[in-house]
Amino acid sequence: MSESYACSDLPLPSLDTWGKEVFSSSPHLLILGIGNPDRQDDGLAWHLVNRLATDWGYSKGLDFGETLPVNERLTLRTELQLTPEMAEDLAAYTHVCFIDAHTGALPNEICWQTLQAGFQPSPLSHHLTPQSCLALAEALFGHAPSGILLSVRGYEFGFSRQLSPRTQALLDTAVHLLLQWLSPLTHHR
Amino acid sequence: MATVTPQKITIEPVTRIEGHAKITIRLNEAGKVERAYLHINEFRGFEKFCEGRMAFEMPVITPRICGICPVSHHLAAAKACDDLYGCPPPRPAQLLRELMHMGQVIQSHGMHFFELAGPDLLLGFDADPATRNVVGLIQANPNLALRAVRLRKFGQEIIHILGGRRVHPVFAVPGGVNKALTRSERDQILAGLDDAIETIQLGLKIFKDWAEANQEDINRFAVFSTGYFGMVKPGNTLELYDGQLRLIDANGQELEYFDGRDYLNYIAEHVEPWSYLKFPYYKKMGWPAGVYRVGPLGRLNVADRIATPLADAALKEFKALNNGKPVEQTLYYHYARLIEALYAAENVRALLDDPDILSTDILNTRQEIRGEGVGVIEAPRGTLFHHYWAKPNGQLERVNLIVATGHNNWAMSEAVDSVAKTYITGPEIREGLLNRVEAAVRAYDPCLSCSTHAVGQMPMVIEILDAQGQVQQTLTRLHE
Repeated sequence: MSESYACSDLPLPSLDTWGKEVFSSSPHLLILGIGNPDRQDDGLAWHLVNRLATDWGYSKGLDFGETLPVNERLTLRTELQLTPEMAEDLAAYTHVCFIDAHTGALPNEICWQTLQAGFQPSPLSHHLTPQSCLALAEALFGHAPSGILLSVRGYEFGFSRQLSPRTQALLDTAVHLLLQWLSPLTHHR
Repeated sequence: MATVTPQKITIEPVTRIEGHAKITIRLNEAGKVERAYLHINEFRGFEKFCEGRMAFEMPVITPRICGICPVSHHLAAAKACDDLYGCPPPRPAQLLRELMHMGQVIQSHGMHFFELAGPDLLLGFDADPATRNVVGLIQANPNLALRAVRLRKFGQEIIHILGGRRVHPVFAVPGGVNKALTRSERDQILAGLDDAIETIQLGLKIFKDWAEANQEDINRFAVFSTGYFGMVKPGNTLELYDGQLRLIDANGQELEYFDGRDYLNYIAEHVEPWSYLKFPYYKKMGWPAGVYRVGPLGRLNVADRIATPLADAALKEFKALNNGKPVEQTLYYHYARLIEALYAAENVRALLDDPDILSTDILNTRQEIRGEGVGVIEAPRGTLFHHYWAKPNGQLERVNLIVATGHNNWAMSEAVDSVAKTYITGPEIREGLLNRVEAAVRAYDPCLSCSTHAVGQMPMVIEILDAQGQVQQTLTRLHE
């Protein structure tokens, strides 16, 4: 099952040693942002992924369900929410970094946790967690990529495309951290 | 998480910021269930959010209510705009919209049966919760699981081909659609159709086998009388995209048959202090006598026939369950859902075989703004109304949405109450009993505003207290 909310302070784990299939071989990392940009801070990940894309020279931006291969080792994608059929897509990667907002249940405003594939029920809804999606990939397609979840605190969840000021500030920090973390994969684009 | 007060059990999966539900079970002095409630804390701010926007934006804006059934909102909004702008779409556009809708029904019903309800039915309500889930189902029957994933993907692919994306398509516009179907796209859809139909038929067989072995459970699990409501074509033929609305009573007698535009003459909404979601009911019978059910069970109960052969044959078997009278058992929602999925798949072929499906006459550009428009569609979960009032320039002044989950609000709460009273008979609550309470809600496949989902979900806990308020037992569902 997944680790509990034992988030660590940043920095993120070294790309050289993270996961079952370490990055020294032929890694393929998916950065998967989840959230609804029409619901203010819930869309944090959508803003974050688009900031990364912009920073790497892709000015058009990504909408829901769009995938942007940055290079042969790194792909960006945003989704409104996880769905079962994404398991097949996930199984094609060696590593997945899920990005999502959190509502204060985690100890830090920005934190990460490594994920283990394991199904988690959502008794009264259609919600699928990253751990569940990894479990589906493993059970259906024989391979779950190494997973990590980067969570950033959301504060306001109204009907708006504009992040709250506090989450906007966190977004800037998270973008900076991710750019640093991913720089080994983007050096030779 | 659980909130515990004397003689009260609360099941509260604190899911999203908005749109989550909780179940409260109140016990009496004797330790028996006195009353159970489903509370839906759905925030209906979306209507307010839309005011001031241009009506033509609504097919793009409203799908963002939800990531599970965006197509339903997309098409209902487009239909409301057709009405508001006075621009009925040409026939090919109607066919293409209906085709997209069938894709939505297939993927939604397929996912529900195989991935949400399937573990309960195929592995058993009392199975170990660690394995009573879709992964457990995969391990028990990997071939079935792969077929189920392919089925959902088939539905999503139809949406993708027509709308350019699987979620939040940009396809239907006031007066029609903005993309014709090519011959190769048609053939691509046709290539997956036989497999999809086989999978749904397999699901039907699985359900019927399960029902035969679990008749006792079916007949004591949330069985109650209501009216039924849904869309039909002439001859009371099942219809999901465009038709008249039919309301019948618990005995199957027709109460109303009307145009969706007139819904306000027939439907009123009741408010209860314990739920944010209103309770629609049939106006003439009043509250609560006028409660009714929508969705697959409601639709099959109001329909006398289905236009496609395999689904029509399945409907006849379904109707025989109660000798032609409305089927009342909540667990038969699953059965009805599969029959509808079969119809949707067969209807895909009928639509693709229509000579007009490849036409490029897909948009009516003439407009005669009426200032008000209503769009009605049968979403997978039930009848969905979009009603817009606009200024002469098309700017929205008022919006009213009645969503499928709302229509079933009373029924879901009643189902929870019924199941709690039937199965929870003492202080010892087994996991399987708790799961039955959840399953009563799951049968209706409610959509609780899934458009926000930030991390922060809590464990679901049920605690039972004795008459002195002491905790006797705690059950926890681990979640994240």
